[in-house]
Amino acid sequence: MSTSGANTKSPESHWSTPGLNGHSVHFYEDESFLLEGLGRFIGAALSGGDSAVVIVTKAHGKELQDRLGKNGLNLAVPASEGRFLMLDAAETLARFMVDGLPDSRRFHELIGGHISQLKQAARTEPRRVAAFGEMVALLWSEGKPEAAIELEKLWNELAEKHAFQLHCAYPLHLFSQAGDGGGMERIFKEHSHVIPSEQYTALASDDERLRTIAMLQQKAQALETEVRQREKIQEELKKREADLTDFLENAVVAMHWVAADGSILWANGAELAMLGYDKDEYIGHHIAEFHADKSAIEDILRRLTCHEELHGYKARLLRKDGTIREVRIHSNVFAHEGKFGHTRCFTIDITEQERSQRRVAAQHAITRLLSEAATLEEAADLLLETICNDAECDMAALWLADESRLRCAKTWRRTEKRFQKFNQATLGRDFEKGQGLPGRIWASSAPIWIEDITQESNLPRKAEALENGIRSAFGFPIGTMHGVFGVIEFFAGETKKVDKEFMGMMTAIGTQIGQFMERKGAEQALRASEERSRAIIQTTPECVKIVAGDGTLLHMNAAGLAMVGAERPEMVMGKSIYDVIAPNDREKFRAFNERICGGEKGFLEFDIIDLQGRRHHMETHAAPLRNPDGSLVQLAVARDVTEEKGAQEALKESEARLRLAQQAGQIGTFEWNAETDVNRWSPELVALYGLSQGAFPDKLDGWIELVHPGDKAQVLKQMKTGFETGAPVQAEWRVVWPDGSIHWIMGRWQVFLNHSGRPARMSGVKIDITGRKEAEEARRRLAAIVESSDDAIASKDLNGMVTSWNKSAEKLFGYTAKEIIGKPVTLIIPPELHPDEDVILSKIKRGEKIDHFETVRVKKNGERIEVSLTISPVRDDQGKVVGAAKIVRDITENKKIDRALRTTEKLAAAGRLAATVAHEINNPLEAVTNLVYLANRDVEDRKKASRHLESAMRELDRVAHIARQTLGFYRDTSSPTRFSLSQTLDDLLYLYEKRFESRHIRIIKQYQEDVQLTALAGEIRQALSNLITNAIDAMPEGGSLVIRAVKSHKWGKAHLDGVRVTVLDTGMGIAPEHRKNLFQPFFTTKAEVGTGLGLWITRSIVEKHHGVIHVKSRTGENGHGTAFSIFLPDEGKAGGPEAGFPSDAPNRRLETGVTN
Amino acid sequence: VKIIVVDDEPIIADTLVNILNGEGHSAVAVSDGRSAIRWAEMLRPEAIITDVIMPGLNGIETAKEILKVLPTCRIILFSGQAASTDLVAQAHSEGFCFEILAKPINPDILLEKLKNSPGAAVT
Repeated sequence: MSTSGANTKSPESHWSTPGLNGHSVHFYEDESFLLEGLGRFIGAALSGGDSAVVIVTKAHGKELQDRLGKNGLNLAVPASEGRFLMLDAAETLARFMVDGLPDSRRFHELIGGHISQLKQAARTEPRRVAAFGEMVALLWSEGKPEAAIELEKLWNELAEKHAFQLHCAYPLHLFSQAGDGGGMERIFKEHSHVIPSEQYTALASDDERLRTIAMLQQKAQALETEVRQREKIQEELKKREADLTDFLENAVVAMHWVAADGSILWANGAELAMLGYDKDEYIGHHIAEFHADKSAIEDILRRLTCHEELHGYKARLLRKDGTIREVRIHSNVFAHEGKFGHTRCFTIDITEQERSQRRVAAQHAITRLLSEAATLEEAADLLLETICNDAECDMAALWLADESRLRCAKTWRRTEKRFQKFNQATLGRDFEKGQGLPGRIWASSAPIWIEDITQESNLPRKAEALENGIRSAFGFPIGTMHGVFGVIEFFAGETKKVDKEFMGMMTAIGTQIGQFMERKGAEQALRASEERSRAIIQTTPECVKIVAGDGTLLHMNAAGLAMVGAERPEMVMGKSIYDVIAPNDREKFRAFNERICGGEKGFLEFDIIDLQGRRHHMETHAAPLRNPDGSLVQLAVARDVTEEKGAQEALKESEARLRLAQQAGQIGTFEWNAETDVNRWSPELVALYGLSQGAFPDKLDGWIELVHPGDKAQVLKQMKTGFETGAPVQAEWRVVWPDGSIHWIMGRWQVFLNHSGRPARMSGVKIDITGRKEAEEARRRLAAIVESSDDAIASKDLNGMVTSWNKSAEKLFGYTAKEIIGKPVTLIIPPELHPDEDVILSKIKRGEKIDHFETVRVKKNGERIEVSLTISPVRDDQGKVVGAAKIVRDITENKKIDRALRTTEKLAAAGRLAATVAHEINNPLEAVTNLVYLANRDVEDRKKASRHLESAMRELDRVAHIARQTLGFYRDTSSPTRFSLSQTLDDLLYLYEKRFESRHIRIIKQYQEDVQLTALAGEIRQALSNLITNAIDAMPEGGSLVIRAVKSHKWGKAHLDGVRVTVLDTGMGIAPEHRKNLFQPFFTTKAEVGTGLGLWITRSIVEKHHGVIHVKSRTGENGHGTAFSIFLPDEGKAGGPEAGFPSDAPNRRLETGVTN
Repeated sequence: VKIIVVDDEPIIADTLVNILNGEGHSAVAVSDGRSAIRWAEMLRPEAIITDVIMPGLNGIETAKEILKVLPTCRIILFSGQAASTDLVAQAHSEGFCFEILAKPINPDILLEKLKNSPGAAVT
């Protein structure tokens, strides 16, 4: 929309001035002013034939109507013509506002619709519409300026489509704040014309002027508001400032402000109190006056000027009393209009904290100094400096005490120029006890503090001190509970107040230094003594050495080095000492060294081969020496006794040869010196006693202790003989080794007497004869056994010649040993059995043994005897068979007894059998007895009686049958017969018929027709009977009994024909734990009725027939029962069974299987 | 006298009952121990004649059970097997005193015994 170009003036009506499509805005303060203008605007339009729309508040609408009515314009007329429309601003606004903003589409539809209708109704050409709206003002007043501006824009868009005259109005108070000017500017931008408030038509001029007036008006109003607000704020500020000032003044933290020129502008109470100044002594002064370090304050000011902020800047401030406060400063600059206003500074007093830290640090420093220093002199300079720094003094002096005087050993000054005269007066000076400050401290053993030396007498150096400006002095003793060793004193140029804490600390340091001196003194003494010892050792003519447990030579003196022929110590030092020991003494020496390093003392003679290859004989005394780490080493003093032993050189050579012999033959030697009671053993001898090298007793008494108690007396007796006669002695004795085993030793020795006939030494050899003794013993024992044996024991060589013959053999065969030894063994073998001897000999030659070979032999008198032979090969040392040893046992008697026993056994078994069938006989007899009684009773009633008798007959038949069977059992035991096994089984089933009936047992017979067998029929019947009665007992509640008999083969041996009988019941089964005992005699699970013999007898019978018995059994819910299965070979085809009962001979293999 | 005869062989029990009833007793025959106990509770007999070795409960166990209900009932055991004597001896050690007769029994002797008062006390 153009704003400037449409600026034409019309003389007749002001409202038309903006032109055809103007969009003017009207700011007003007074409502009547608005309504006046509006009335004219609308009135002119309507009366001119144009259309008009007003969108106003209800109140304004009413006012407008009234005003125009007064002017004679009835709005109803143009309204009825469709030229006038009045809308409520709020309602209309609500119809197109969406989300707080005017919706463009709805606005155009609604307002655009009205405008075009109004335009059509206009009576003039061109058709014009005048519009007045307050919706923007409404939005503005609601605080939605954005929405208002947006709506103005929509109005402008609409004006582009429909030419119409738009007039807006805002109450001016909406823009009274200074900051609202911007909003007004934005409203101006949307309008082509501005009508300032309270404008009179006459004043209507150019737009620029009007606009300025409106702006000025707005500004004036804004200013007025600001003044009111500012007054309020200033009041508030004053109050706050007072608060803040009060707060700062009374704060605990020290604070001050410093101006750009360095003068102090302000300081609070805390700061003044910290430094001890009054306000006027501080404020207004330059800050640098109060800093101890001028360079520090310069630095602070420089930094602050550069607008740097200070955090924890360390500084030292001067108190009014002259002391120094250590502080940390936090400061920054308050900039005023971009310039340095003043500093704002917080000062924290850290004096106490620093002091204690410094003291701790000083104490640490001193401790470290002392721990690192070798002597006090070495540490003194640093020590004095450290203490001076801590005490804030300029000079210190160290005084050391001797017997009677205290001498100044050292002084320290902060600078060379300080206290020059006083230093000269001090250095090298000495005092006696009680004299001067050091002397007084020495005397009292306590620290002394002189705050002001002018007040003191007894100060020999007072004049020099005063001349050099010394004000205070302090000193403390150096020493421990054992006494005062010295004094340290300090001097300061200013007065120093007594500081108890500091004194306590210095006293502690004094003790620390004292302890240091004590320790160093002791160390020095030790070193001196070590030096002396070393000197002695180095000059002694004997070899002194220290050897580690592993043989490393740790030290050796000059004499020792000469002995081993070392030109330089490093030729042997640190190397193994064992290398210089003669090879045959090396082990001995090693053992000795290890013993010494284990804590023992000892003496040893040994040979060395020196580095030049010369042999020396040495004698050494050694003792353990404890290392600082607790380990032990050997300290030894050795003497070269080669010269003394020179005469024995030759002997040594032979000794060496002897030793070789000893090593080969388990021979040990010893030599005992009567004078020293030293008993030297060769290593072999030590071994003979089961001892480790070096562990043998080197005294004679010690050796005696090693002899077995049982032999001690005898050995001592022989020793005595040796001592008395000087003749060679021989003895045998036992020794008990440390492991408890017993060994035999044979000793041969001689005592050598000296000129006066007294024993000088004793030497001899010893041999281990344990092996020989044991062999002798074994031989003796064996011979005794052989001789005393009841069995005939003989031996023969591989040619069959008798080589030994014991007493029992003599008795058994009638030949004496003398008669038969050297004769062929066939003498006692029956001629027909001679070939057996060849078989025996060939077996023996193969190294085989013959066990319990039962055969027949002939006595000297021709009588034959049954014997059992056990023959073993005899081997020589190389394991080669050289002969045979035989034990002959006469079993003729045994055989007889055996036969008798078997008969008895059989009878007993028969008796047991009878017992089992007793029930079968007694029951029918009971029935018969009763029936006969009844027949007799009922004899009148013939019918009844005969029925009784018939029953009795049946029962008697049963008895007779059983009796026949039983008797048959005895009768036909003698020899196997061919019989029908089927018939036998039928007989048995008949025998037990009653029992089957009473127990509801069903019989199932599964025979192949007529199974024949050659065997002992009675025994087979007995075996089967046992199985059937077992089956009956297994089924007390009834069941089925299956009897099967078939021709078969032996398991695993198809060629052996026979019969298999199976007896199967559906009874309770045999518990697994019982199965392995089933065939044991007297094993029974039926204590009431069983004898425990049934299955044992059955098995015996079956095995006698070379048969096999197997059992299978199941217990449990899902099927149970037991099946015994017997296989019997048909004896008609393979030889007959042995007569009698089976023996339990060990070499008989029992083919009895138990299968689960 | 009211009597129960127990034997697993029916012919023995039946003939004995026949003999006893013929002599004026009132006897019944059963073939096992359980039945004997059941009948004893119902009939409350004065005497029990029982075989010893039987399937199920043996004669002695049967007798002990019956004595619990009828403490005064007379027990006469009879048996054809030697093993029975062991069982009687064991019962004796437990405090039971039973008369035992060997099979075959002469019926006259049995009847005579029943006429006499019991020889041994029943405890």
